[in-house]
Amino acid sequence: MSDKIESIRAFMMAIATILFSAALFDAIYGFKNLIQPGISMVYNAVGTQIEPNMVTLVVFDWRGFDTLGESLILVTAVLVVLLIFGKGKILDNKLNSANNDLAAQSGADELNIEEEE
Amino acid sequence: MAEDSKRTPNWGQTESTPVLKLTALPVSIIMIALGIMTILGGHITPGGGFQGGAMIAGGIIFSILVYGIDGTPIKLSHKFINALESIGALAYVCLGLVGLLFAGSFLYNVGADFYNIVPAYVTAIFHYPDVTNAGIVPYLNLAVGLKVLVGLSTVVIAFSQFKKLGDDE
Repeated sequence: MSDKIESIRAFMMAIATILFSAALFDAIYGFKNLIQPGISMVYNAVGTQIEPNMVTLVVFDWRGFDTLGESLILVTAVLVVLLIFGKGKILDNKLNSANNDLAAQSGADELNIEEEE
Repeated sequence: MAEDSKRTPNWGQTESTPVLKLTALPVSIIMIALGIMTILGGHITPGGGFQGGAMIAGGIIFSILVYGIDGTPIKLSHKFINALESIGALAYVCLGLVGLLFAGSFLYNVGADFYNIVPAYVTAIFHYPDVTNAGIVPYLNLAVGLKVLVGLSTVVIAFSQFKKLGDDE
């Protein structure tokens, strides 16, 4: 049973890897047509008319979406830190014991099902 | 016990030295003021919301490390932190959505309006009242500053409380 699932999983993984690498190499091959070497000079010439400071201009005006993702990364990192290090400490004891009972019950159910099969 | 500590902060019960206890509060207040200055001057100096928020969080963390989580004078409650984080994220996304609504691209600078495609009344609303033509960038700075200040100080607050919880067990 588990060997079959493992082999199917490995097969799908291989196909996905092939597709992803093909798309990536194709994108890299076609990317050289998109590069304009003089775009930095255009930015430097136009930039200070939009915004007084170039650093702020790049971070918040041209790459505002990037900055949004950056701050969401920080939130996600803090959330994961709290989830990992605060596991079992934030909830009160009653809720924790209820969860443990639930987990024990579901584990027992799984055992029963496997035995029946 | 809990009510007593809430009424009078027990600054003397941590193990830090008197020199630290005397200097930590003024230094952290100066750090917080410097961070606020960095955020508010983000559009004319090469600083911004991220750096200013990190400086404010540094002041809060310094005060927590010296006085302890119970005795710190700069105390942030759970509700306050929650509100700051939500306001920061929502303000950033809503400013982006205004650009999407009126100009057709997310996070378009509707205050500066470089391409003249936004109606004049929208530009008048989001124009930063300043001699520089910054647009919505100062508001984005404020939002990111709130988010970063909360994110960095939350970790330290949580870790100091984890230690207390571990001692109780």
